[in-house]
Amino acid sequence: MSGRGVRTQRGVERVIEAALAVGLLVSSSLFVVGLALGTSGPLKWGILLLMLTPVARVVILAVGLLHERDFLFGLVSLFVLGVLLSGIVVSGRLAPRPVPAPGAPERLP
Amino acid sequence: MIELSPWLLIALGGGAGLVGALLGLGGGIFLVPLLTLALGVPIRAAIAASLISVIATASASSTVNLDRGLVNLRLGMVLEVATSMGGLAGGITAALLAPRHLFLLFGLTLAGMGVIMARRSGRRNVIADTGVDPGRLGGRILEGETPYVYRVRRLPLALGASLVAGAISGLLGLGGGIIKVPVLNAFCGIPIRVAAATSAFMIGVTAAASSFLYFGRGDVAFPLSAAIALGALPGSLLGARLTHRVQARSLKVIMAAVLLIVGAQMALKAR
Repeated sequence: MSGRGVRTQRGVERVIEAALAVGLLVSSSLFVVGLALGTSGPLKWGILLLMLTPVARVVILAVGLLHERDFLFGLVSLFVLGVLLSGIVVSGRLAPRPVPAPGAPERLP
Repeated sequence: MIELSPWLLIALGGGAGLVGALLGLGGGIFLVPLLTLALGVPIRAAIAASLISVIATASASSTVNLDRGLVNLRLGMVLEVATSMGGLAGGITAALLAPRHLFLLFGLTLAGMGVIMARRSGRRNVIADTGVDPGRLGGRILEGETPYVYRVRRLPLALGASLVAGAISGLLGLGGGIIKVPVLNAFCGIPIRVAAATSAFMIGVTAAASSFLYFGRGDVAFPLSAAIALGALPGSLLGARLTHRVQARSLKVIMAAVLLIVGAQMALKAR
């Protein structure tokens, strides 16, 4: 790897670090609010945000690698992103349950 | 589900995050048995909560590991192709399986991993001659003041292990690190600390792939999952910082024992 490549990678690592930290900070704040108030709204959004943090991380890495003109690994990242997005699409239509199991979702512990 | 105190769940998440980040795992391997066997949480809700906690642990420990330059981004991304596809397949399969089959699968996986961990030896993977070309996927690390080079060997095996790890992650709510870390270290030439850091970096994506399926199916119990993830954050930050101070060997032995015992219990519960 060239010196420039190492520097760029360091830059990408910093951006990913920052994105992960922001995602964790916001979602944990939502968790604190939701648990303190006993409402599930902030909890739901906090969980969704937490689930999207790794997706954001893949996007950043893909952009960083393509910017670095590392097309092979950039394409690999885009493929991973595609798999993640297809999971989101599939989840929307996956077996809506006829009867909700007693006590499982949306209930305060 | 019995009433569970948020403080208990936060403490539970903290413990799983701490041990998970310490070993380069997500901590789901401890969470799912504890939630189902000890606290009576339905297995799908436990798996969903575990996946969310795994994401928190992976993201938090990665902020520490990236800073130390321990994460191999390229290798992680290549292996993520396999884990994310496995995660998706596992998540879809789990939606179709009966709870008792999930218990049985979990128990057998745990016990199997326990045997592998117990038998693993501690051989070195690094090359002291820094003039060696690490190749496109390999890398360099500093151990103390000494630089080392490592090359990635048997990439197809690493990809295969990642696919299995992903599928198990989606099926059982684990990160899958428990499969990847030993394989990457024992067979693919990757130093244990890089293997753990890169695995921890990957499992966030693996768990995210299947967590969407559980979320869409309505299996996510919000307060349960939020409390555990909230505890997992400080736990995993602490664990990632402690990782180089603990004797890896003693941790592995303890872990192998825990895996065998919990695995047997889970499998018995399936009967």
